[in-house]
Amino acid sequence: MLFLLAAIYLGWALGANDTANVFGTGVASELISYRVATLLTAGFVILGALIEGPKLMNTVGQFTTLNLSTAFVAVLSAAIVVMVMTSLKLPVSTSQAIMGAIAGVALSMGGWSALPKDKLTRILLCWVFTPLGAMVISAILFMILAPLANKIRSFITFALIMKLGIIVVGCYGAYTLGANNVANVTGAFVGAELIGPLEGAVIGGAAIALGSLTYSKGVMISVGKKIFPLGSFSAFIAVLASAITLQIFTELHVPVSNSQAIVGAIVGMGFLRGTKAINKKMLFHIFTGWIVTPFFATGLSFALLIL
Amino acid sequence: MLFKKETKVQELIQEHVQTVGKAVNFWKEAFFHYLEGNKEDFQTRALATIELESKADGVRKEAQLILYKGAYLPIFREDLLDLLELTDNIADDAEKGVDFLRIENPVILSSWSGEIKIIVEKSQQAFLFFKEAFTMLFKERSATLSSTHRVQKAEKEIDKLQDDLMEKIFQSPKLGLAYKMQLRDLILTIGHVSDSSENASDKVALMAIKGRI
Repeated sequence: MLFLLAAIYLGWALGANDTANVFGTGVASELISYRVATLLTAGFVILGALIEGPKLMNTVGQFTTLNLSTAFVAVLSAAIVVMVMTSLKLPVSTSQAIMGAIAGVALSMGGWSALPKDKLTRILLCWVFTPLGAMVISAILFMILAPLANKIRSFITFALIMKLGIIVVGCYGAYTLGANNVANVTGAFVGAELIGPLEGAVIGGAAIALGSLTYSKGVMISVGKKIFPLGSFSAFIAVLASAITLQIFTELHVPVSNSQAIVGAIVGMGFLRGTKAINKKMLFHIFTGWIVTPFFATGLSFALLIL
Repeated sequence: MLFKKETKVQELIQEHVQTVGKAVNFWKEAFFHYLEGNKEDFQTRALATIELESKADGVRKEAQLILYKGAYLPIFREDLLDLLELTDNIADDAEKGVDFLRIENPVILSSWSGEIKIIVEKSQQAFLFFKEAFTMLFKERSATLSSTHRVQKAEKEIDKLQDDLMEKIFQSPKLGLAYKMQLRDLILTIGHVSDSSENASDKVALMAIKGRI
């Protein structure tokens, strides 16, 4: 069971970094306290992990044939990548780190031919469509909900709906994060048959929740301050669109990046509002997630296994 | 209760505007009684204005405290804090008006009193248009701007009336300069009520526009 420590660390890092996207707005705007936000996040992450998380375990665990030691190397590599990228203050996606690391395992076992090309293509397409999908979803949500919001007659009612809305979509965002990303944490060990899918969901969900409860404050406030200046309505749409995007990819059984979804959602609204929502930093964010993280993880797990 | 703080702030903001409205009403009555020479009635209205200004201050502070404790999202909170401050200025100006009469006790010739009454009445009207805009902000945001336009229009008329009256005063050969200056200050003090109503109404207009997506 000591092998699971690497998974718990990965889950903890995921919780510390990614839960900021769902409640960052609420905390940075002092709508809810950090403590309440992390408690809600922890609760809904575990709920999402338990209800829908097991669906994605096979995508991670059966990408290639894993045994206990290769699963451990894959998870450890992903954890190291997340730790290094975070310490360098570079954006990182655990989905891309773990899938890259597992691809490295496959490469080390049988070279290029050992990579399941059909699964890989499907996953890569999903990664590309994460920000693009979130962009389209946020644009559609904006077009539908903005006229409705404008029909709210009272300033106060509007303000109250926004307050409630940000809490509700935050909870939903935490739920989809748990559902979609829990397999990143323990999927490899489920594939190696160390634990079952439900056990994986429990351990992974708890690890993500722990990360949120213990170490998410700084990221939560800094991410929230980036999202909130968009305005309460746009912040609400951004979190909702990214949550729906994660829900869709959960149904497709592919773990994707929550951070990239939220960037896509912001860009989507930017197009509609005529604001310059794309900047070099955002493109760098997506590029890093798509290219650097998986390649770094692939190289690391490959190197660890060859050595 | 989920919106306990917000509900309380909403009640207090409404109470604040009502209190300021009562202060402005007593301010108008105080001026009318003063101009008509009813000193006793003037005193009671003036004291009521001062008392209501003080009450409005208390309500404003209570609402601000809850807002600072985190009621509403900051984007709305800042607007509400500004609006409270601007609305409170109207009551402050009403108090300054009655204080002017109480402290300086200026002699107002009957030939000017008719025009001063019109300026006072129109200033109160400007406040009432602001109050209407304020109410619309909480009931029907889309109708807010028509009321704020009325405030602007009323304020413009008041400016014109003030300028005309001050011109007449300063052209009068029989009056001393000190007296003319005292009357000018009085007229400007009256106009501050409509100026502040316009400032508060501008904030309401901005809030209504800002709320549109």
